[in-house]
Amino acid sequence: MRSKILAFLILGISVSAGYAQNQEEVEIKDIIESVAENLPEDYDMTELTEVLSRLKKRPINLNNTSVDELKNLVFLSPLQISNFFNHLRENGELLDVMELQAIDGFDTETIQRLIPFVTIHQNLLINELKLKDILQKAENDLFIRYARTLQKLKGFNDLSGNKYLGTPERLQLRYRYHFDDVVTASFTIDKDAGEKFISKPFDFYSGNISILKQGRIKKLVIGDYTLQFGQGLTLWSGFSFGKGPDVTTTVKKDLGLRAYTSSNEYAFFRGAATTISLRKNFEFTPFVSLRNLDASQTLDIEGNLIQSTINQTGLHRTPTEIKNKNTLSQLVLGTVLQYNTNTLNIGAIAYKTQFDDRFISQAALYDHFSFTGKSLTNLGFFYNYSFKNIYFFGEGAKSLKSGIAFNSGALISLSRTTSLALLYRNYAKDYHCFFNQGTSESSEPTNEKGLYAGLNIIPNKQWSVSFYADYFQFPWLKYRTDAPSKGYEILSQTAYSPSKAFKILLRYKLEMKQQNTDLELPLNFLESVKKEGYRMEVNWQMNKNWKFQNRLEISQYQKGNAKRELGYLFYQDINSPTFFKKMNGNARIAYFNVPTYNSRIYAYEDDVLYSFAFGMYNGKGIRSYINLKYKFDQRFDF
Amino acid sequence: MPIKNNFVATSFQGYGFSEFKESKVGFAYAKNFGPRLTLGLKTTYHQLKIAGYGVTTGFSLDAGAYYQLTKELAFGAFAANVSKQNYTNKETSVYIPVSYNIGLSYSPNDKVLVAATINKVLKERVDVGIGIDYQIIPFFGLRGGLTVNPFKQYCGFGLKYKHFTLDMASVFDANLGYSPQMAISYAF
Repeated sequence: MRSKILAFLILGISVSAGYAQNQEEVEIKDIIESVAENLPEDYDMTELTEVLSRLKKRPINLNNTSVDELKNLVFLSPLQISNFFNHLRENGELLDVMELQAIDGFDTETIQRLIPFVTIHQNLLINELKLKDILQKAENDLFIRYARTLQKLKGFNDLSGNKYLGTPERLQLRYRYHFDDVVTASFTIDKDAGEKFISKPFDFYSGNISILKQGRIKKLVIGDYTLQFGQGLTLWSGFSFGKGPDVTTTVKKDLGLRAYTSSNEYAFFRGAATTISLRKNFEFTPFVSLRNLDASQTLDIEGNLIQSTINQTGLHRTPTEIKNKNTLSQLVLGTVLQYNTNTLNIGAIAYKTQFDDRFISQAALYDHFSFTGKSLTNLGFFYNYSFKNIYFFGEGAKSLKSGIAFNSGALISLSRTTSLALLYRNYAKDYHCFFNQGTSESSEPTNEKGLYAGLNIIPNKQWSVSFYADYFQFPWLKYRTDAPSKGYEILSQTAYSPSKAFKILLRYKLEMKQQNTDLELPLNFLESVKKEGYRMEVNWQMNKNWKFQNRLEISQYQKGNAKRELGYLFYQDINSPTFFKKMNGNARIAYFNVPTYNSRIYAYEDDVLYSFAFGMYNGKGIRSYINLKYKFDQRFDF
Repeated sequence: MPIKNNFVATSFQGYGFSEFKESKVGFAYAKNFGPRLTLGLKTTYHQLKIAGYGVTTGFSLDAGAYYQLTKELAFGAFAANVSKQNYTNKETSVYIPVSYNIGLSYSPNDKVLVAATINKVLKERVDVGIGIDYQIIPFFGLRGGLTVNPFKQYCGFGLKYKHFTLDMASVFDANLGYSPQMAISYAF
């Protein structure tokens, strides 16, 4: 692969208040990288970063908060949240944030991460909505992002008959309106590289208006929204964490109904939804959504349109992609009923997904049990309960006329320094759900059984050790695996930080799976595929203004008895929160040598404000980037 | 059985079924050297009985050391069959394994013990294991763990009653399925 030179530009205008500092980005980046390990490539993490940046501007009042509010802090585990409320109940209000040290599971690192986002002082509450205030006292943020790869991408000329029809620019505009967390609105437009400007100026529009905390109406969103409930087996749209070096991320923290602010073009609902509090502790969330999805359709013998899959990429560059755009209409209608207290949450979900065209299964045998037909009804039941030092959680899900999926687990705080996570999962091969984000090894949480066990040990300020092992079985065939198969994954990580200015991290990851042999035989048999990854990372700080990170990552891939492949990546990062007074920025230079896609390496990359990405390194070369930001004044930066 | 700074112990072990039976009788001796270090030796008499093939016996010697690094951390090492003894019958292909093991244990409080080991059995691959013992109530503890080469998962429990300890465990191997184990011990 050629080395890429990317140029990014950002223009940010904040009309009323608020600007982001580079320091904030560094913290948020650390948080995201620690919790997100197996994210899809180029995933838009704006939603996550925006939530954190917003909380930084308006910190959570720890003496007047809720489980739902604390769940926004992705790095807090459910057990920590439940321990926190136990502490409040027993000891009354916090007088100092450092009192958190007395709570089980709150190690120094957690508290350090928490401090920017919390306060113990009362926020000003706005009880009455006045039109004048809505217009005058609100915060407005506008971001325009323009990006262009300086070299011409293959797709613009090399693909004969199916080349990209649009222009190479990537353009994004985000507008956010906040009125004291009572009224919010957002508007996003996005055009990917290779997509057309003409006909409609932009390829993707998304927006919504939401009203929060008004009497019985806890939330009301009109426009685009997401729904996340339970452990994600029945109803979870958008982003979710899976297995990661922080073992507590296997437990999903559902945020319920939320306004959608991401530029991902697939994982959201479009319509209206509301969460109403029925009586004490009971909540009711009805929702309706109608939108068009991308699908490649054909005609059946009776002349009806049919399709076998939905295209989720949201890219509309080639004639085929443009032809498939918005061809399939989807109506989703349903409701969620919840009973919530600080220790017990239970909920029931029921909804129907209706398409105007029929799904058929693909010819491949591994696809034999996939969804067919026009409509699907999903039912789910989820729970979580904290008892002393144990947090139990789980979900059972059923798609009517087909399979069942369930998982169940516990997060146990063995001692102040040691926590254990356990999760058993069993997802039927014919369990169907269009909004399924359950914890799993496969990208689709179906056709899988597994047992996960993870351990975090933070014995003191300097050391932290984490370890997990996951054993899984796939009872039915998979893509490139023509027989039931099994495998396991192990990760172990140690971090040592003798001072604030120095940290070293070592990580080892092993993954064993089975896959069809590469040999040309009349009958495929399975061979074991072994992937290993070694990482060494050093973070050091010269002074307040200069921070460095070095990483060496080695990946090994071996299939059956074939020769082992070896790839490696080395990079140097430089980060400066301020230089020449008004400037700040960061830069990376990376050298990589990765023989094939099999031993590919992922690494987190900085991008302009609110935008981070996991880059994939494959091939041989040098990749570098530089981000600079110049602050004109409090309201405007470039 | 403690005798001043010295400890002695015996063990009996049985494995197999009527057609194939392995039995071991062990005698162990350990001595404390100061508050942190303990060294130990164990001799084992092995008997192997295979239906239709007769009986063979052998002796082996194990040596081990245990060092308490801090209140929470302890380090241990032992070598099994250090003198590379074998069964007296030279025709048998079953041998008494020679292994070298090191381990680290972490015990943040009196309820929890996390242990990690690295084992090398001669002629086999290096294995790494990790296990947890969690004493939920004073006389009952739950255990779980795994080893990497080959991948096996373990779970079990231990019951303590006065001087007696009863340990039950089950191993799950992806290829071989479940195999249960039981141990009873008495400490003076």
